[in-house]
Amino acid sequence: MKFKGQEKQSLLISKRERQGYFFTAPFAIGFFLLILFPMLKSFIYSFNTFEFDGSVKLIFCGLENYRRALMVDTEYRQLLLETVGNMALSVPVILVFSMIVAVFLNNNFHGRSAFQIIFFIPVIVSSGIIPMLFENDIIRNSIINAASAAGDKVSSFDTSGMTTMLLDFNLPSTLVKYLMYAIANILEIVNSSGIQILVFTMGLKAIPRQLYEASSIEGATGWENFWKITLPMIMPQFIVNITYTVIDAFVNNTNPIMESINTYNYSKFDFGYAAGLAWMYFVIILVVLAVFTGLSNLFSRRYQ
Amino acid sequence: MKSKKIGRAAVMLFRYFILIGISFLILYPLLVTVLISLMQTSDFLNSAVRYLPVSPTLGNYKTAAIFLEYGKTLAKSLVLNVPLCLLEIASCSVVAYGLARFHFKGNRLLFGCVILTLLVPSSIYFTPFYFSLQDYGPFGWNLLGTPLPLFLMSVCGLGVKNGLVIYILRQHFKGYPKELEEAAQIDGAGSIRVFISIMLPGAASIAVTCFMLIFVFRWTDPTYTQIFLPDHEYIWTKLASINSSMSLLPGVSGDDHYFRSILKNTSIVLYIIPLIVLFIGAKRRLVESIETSGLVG
Repeated sequence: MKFKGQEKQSLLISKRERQGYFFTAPFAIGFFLLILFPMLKSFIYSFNTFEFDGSVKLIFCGLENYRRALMVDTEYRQLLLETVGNMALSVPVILVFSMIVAVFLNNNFHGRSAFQIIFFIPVIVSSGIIPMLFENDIIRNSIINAASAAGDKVSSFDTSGMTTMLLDFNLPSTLVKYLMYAIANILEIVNSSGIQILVFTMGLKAIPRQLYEASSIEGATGWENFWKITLPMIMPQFIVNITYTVIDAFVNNTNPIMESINTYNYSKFDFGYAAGLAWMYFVIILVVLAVFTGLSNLFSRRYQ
Repeated sequence: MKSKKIGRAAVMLFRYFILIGISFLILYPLLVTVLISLMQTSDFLNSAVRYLPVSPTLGNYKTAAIFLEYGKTLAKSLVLNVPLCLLEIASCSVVAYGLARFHFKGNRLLFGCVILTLLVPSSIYFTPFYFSLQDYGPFGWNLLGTPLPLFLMSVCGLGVKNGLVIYILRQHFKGYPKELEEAAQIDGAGSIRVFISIMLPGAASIAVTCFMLIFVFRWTDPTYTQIFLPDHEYIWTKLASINSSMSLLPGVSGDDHYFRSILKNTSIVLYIIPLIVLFIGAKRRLVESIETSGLVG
């Protein structure tokens, strides 16, 4: 037996549901037609080799493409290990770095908008077509590297002196090593933090001022404010950033594996092998991302 | 009181110290690019010149503008990109609103799909999609060489890195209190009305930022356009051709590395000028929208 009110409510929910489908329909349809369906096709490609004689022909070759990637193509295996290792090291540094910069940029001070423009520049120049053009510009690179040879170093630092000093302070050696890694790769880290800084800035802007005012009246310091207000309030942005940083480290076009996949796909037209490489890579990205989001969920739950 | 003042000044100084240092890291490579764009070939051969050219010249910009056919290709690129980006920001915010505010079966799955579009290497779905374009759909249309696939992707929120924008906007829409919608519904406003008159004004500043992001992504990563419209001459086509074309301009040998480098660096400056202009414009709009909306977060 149903009550009238209950029926009405269930009707309301189904209306909300319908509206939800309505709003998300463009993406759902597009995803099915333009991504999922081609993806399945590409999965089939990865078990085939391509032959061109007037028309495109698919020849079934079983697991040959995967075997070739793992057993024959020694470069791929090595690149894979390198990419995963680099990513695991750089993601925490990028997150902490972009958080610090965003907090610095959040207060009002002279020249803030100039800094905001400057910190957006990496988004423009560090992905897509521009780094590809710079890569083989011998003359530009020689000018940049001449500077580092002459002493005013930009892209790499000699960190051995600093390492000895910090070790003398009895800091744990893994921590020191990690710090030195961050310092030595600062240029790369700055270049891949553009979006993250922007996302954090958006989150920080949305925190109501009254929260800080109230806690200041209660006598909280800026440091306490950061841990008690800022960090919990930008948890959503934190999770966006973790996800994006992991993804960006993997599928950025300057990543060596993406480069090799793109070469096989767009220049050598070895579509079957490219599909095999890409699918294997995709599975690895999924696993790593699952690990990172699992960790961050754990962290945020413990934090709250 | 006095010690507090000193402490604040110290924090200020520290902040400037760090920010200026990092800014230098970011600007240095760009500065080299700008300086090269002001050089002449003789400056490369002169060992006394490292950064500053002997007699800076703007002549390179003229040459690069001729090479890129700057006015024509820039206008053409903008005419293609601006509508695409507007479509993308519209579809992204609608989809994000749907994902953030409505509970329906498959919501989480669909959101997973959004993330999936970000992390699938694009070549996985691109090649089959491209092959299928020759006779697309039940009527066997030939869509190759038309901008239709690009518009199709934009309408569906599948443009360059659109997943990130959907993600950001969804996170923002999730932040609104539930009562806001309930109150609006009691007043008789439908969910489309709620979206247009409550959600969007509140999201104005974030939407402007997202539009900027979309535009920058599309501008700096023209892979999609290059694949779907290979025969058209856009500004990125010209830019990419610097690496490949043998003789760049009549009267200059293709082996002239110095000239190639100068041309490349100058063209890159010309290429990112529209983005800087957009950023400054968007920032002004951003400040206004925060001041006028009064509903942030």
